[in-house]
Amino acid sequence: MNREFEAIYESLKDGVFTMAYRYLGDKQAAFDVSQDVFIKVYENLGKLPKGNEQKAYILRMTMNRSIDMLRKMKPLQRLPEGAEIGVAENRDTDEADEVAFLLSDLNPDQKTAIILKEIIGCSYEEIARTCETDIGTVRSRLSRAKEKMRETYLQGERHGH
Amino acid sequence: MDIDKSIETLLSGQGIVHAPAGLRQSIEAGLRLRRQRRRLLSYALAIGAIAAALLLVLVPPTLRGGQMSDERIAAVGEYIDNLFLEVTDTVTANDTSYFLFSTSGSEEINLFDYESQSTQLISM
Repeated sequence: MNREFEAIYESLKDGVFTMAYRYLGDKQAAFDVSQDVFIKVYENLGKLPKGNEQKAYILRMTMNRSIDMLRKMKPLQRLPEGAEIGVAENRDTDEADEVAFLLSDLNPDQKTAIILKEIIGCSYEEIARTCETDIGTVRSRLSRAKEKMRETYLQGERHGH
Repeated sequence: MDIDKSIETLLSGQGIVHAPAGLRQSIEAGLRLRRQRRRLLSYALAIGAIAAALLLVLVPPTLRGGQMSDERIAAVGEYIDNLFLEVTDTVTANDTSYFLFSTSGSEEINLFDYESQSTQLISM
């Protein structure tokens, strides 16, 4: 692998994996998405945007790929009527962690904004580029997301989460 | 207690999930697999191109022209087997009767269609 790819991989591997994992709630699916994203990055090295745009471009790829994967996963996750609910053997133990609980009530736009800002540590400008929107919209999505998370947090407190 | 602070701490502390060590090897393996697939595809395309070229060179134009049905081609093929016996024969294909005749040693077959009263000459 060449140096340019190495640098991109090292700086974004955790960000890409985290974003995919926080979207999908499944480590294997997040692994597959991350693999796909980095293979595409490698194959399009010459065509990738440079500078600040690059990170936003790769995170946007991750977001879109995760949404596609989520669409494919959803019909499989639906349980047939009358099926017994148990814990699958290969179920991710982290799946029900507190962060996932906090993010559970957010819509996709709010979730993306929160993941990018609070978890990956992107700036407002980077989030706006990733989501292809303006900074004002990012701020309002973040504010609504925080409001919802506050409610979820308090609900969790009441139910001993 | 500041709820916002708790949420922020939770997100920044537990939110990040480190990429598994196997991801890098898996990307390398994925890239190798894609290269192999691309190579196989280019081989298949080259073989296809050679086969198409051979078809153009070796098969007479009338046989690949699409005017003849499979049955007709089969009838002609069968007749070719009997070429040197100087057989004059009638064959039926697609509800049409064909009169086939040839001269021994000739490299041509005349196909006569009774319905349209026309003759097709096939060069072999």
